[in-house]
Amino acid sequence: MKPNLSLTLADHRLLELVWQAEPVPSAQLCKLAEASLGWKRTTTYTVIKRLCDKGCLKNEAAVVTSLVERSTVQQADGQEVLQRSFGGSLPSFMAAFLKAGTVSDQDAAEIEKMLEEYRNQR
Amino acid sequence: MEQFCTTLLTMSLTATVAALAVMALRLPLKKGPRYLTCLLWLAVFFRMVCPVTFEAPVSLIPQAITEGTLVQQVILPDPTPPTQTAAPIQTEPTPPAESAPAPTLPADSIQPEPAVSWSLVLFILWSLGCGGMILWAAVSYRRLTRRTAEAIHQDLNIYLSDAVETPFVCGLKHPRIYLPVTLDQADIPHVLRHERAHIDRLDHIAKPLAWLTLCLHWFNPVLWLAYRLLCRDMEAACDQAATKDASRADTASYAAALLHVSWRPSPPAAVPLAFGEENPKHRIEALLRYKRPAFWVVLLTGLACVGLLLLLAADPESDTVYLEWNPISQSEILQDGESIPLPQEQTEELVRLLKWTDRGSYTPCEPPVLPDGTVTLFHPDASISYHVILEGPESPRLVKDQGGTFRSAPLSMEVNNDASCVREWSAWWDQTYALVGYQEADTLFALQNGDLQTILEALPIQDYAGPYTFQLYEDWKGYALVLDLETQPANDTQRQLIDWHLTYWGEVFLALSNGHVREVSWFYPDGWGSLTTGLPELYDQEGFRTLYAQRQLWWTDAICLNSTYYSTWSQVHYRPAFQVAEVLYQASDLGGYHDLDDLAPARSSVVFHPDFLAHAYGTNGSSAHYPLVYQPSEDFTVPSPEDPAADLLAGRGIQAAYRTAAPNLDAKDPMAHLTPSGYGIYVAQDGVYLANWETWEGQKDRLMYLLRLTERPYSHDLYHVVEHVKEIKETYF
Repeated sequence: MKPNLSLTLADHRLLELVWQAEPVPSAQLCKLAEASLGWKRTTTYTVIKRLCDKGCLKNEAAVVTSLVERSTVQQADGQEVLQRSFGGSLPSFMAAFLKAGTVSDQDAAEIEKMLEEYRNQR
Repeated sequence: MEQFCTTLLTMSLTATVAALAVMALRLPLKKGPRYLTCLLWLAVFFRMVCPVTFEAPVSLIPQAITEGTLVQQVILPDPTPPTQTAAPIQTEPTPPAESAPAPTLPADSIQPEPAVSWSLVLFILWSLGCGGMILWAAVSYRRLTRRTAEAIHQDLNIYLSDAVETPFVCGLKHPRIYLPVTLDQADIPHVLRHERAHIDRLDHIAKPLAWLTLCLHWFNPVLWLAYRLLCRDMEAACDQAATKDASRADTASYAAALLHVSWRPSPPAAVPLAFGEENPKHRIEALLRYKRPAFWVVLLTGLACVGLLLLLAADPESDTVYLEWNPISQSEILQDGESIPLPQEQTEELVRLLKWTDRGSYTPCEPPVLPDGTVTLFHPDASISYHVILEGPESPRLVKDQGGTFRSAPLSMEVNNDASCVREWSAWWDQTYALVGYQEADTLFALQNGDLQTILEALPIQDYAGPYTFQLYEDWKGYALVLDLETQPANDTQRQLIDWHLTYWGEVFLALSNGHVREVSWFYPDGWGSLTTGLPELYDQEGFRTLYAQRQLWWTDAICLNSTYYSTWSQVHYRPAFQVAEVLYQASDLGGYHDLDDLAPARSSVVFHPDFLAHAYGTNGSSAHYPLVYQPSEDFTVPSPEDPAADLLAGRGIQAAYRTAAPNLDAKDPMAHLTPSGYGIYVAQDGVYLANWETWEGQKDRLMYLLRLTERPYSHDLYHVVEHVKEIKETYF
């Protein structure tokens, strides 16, 4: 099934934990969540269930593994920001950063490199 | 129920006044530190929750409100349950005569219509509103906790969440600060300072508490406004605390943060303490304009606020009088010459006190100086007056003024403002006498000149003499009434008692026949009888009243309860409750007791009250009163077998006994050393028994007579008289 990638903040954070620790027994996941997120066990289980329903996690025999890659989620997140705030226009998105002057030389160089690789691949 | 509604409304009203005062005072105070205005709201809170408070010479709340008189006028009193007033002092067990009122007892008919209990309706409405509010708060709180369950813990007590729109504080014991993810990084420190200020000032507890008290007063719009203003003050105080010692630039960026956080108007809620809850415009303006005043200005203002707080929290000193812990407002205290009916308990108490004093322990004295606070009771025939002196040296005391002879006795009542009740009592007695005694006389008098048979049937002859038939003979002298009695008296004593009764009622009959009948005679089955020709007078209403009353009194109704609470014979009395049913025992072999005249009870009236037994001898008015010592049935022992009363009382199911005992008036506590005297009263299933023992020629405690009493129909004891009086008043006045 195609996973639903419209994720809440809580979903994101739990996925982070899973990516770091998987495959992880659910009980341990709860402990991790309590330590870093401050969640009760019931909360953690609620989020696990929700993510399972969205197709992002798998919880079999009390062991949790992820069903989506981090990059997939990042992509979906990026698309959402793009759509919501920049009308789907990537240049406008870039422009926002360029205008604010928040792009360092190092970042700019990395971006140029990425663009060139992208062009070569096409 | 009524008490609860009254108290609640009084509190609400008081709080409203306090709130209005605070609102007015707030306006100048807004220029200063805002925590001072928050302090003032404490007074309103106190008034909302606390029904009692201390009294002070000065208060900002008017007395009419704190005393609840305003509220009393608004709330309709509940109808009193009918059984409240009819209960006499019950020392168990009640003598059967008192607990089984005669069928015609008027008390049964004074039941008011059950009306709608307003206070119950109000209470139900109130609890619905209050419960609804609390329920709403609980539901919204639950929803909030659900939303924030997945908040990410950042640091200390700070949580990040994508499910909340504004930053806020939530939680009682461990308050948490929730920040929305959309919050600008630059704004975060300001927000945190503000929310931490809330926590430091314990606002996270104060606001829900305020909300809860508002629930109790949900019907009061002024208090809703007060709550809103309190919230504003809390926010402003936190703003000030957050920007304390901050530079202009810092304050400016704090104000920017306020603007950035979106402000959505929402209904006043208990939680959360949202950052952007109040209109930012006002807050920013106030913040930017605020200049912290000098220390001493703050101190003085603070002291002034504390002073105001106390003024609002205090009740004005009232000059209410307290009578047995019940407040009496000024308007309830009698003016000279006024009289109002006295509550039953006070009557009994006062009667007891005055009777106790009137035992003959009077000592001669000079004419008393009558200070303020003296109550004077006038005898209806104006020959004796009693002065109850409650204040002054050697008070309280009773002074009897009998035609210029003064005698004084100490009064054993506590000095409180009973002056008014003494006055009321005397007026009440006059009324009682007038209403009850005269009422009956007038009822009979109305029959004058009417049908003779009607008159005859109106008289309670069969109650005294048993069933009878009558005949009216006419001869040249006029009419004569002859009664043929069907019951043979058991013995001579009883016969003579019946003769006495019939003589009296015969005279009443003759008075009512207005001269048409010249004699009344009666015959027993054995042929013996007697007659009376009455007094050669024509009676008007006044005269008939006097005839009716006087005869009733020094009449050998013997063991009837003609009571005289004054020591003469013509005054206040209540109606007989008992009559002799049978004479069980008479020590006739002791000389001097053959004639009815010498039989002590025949010549006197006996008052039987659960607390005392009183004897009034003859017609000269001397009297003696004996406190009764009650023996409960567990402790009660049947008289010893040698005692002739033992046989007579055995098997009658005695439930309680009283022995009279004479107090030692010389002792400090007269009741502490009682000398048993000769009367015994036994309450049995089939009636009340009166026994008298005398020491005769050296022999101790010989039974002189034992009488069985029975309740006389249409008769009342004191408590029923009260009911009867009320009924008459309702019917006729």
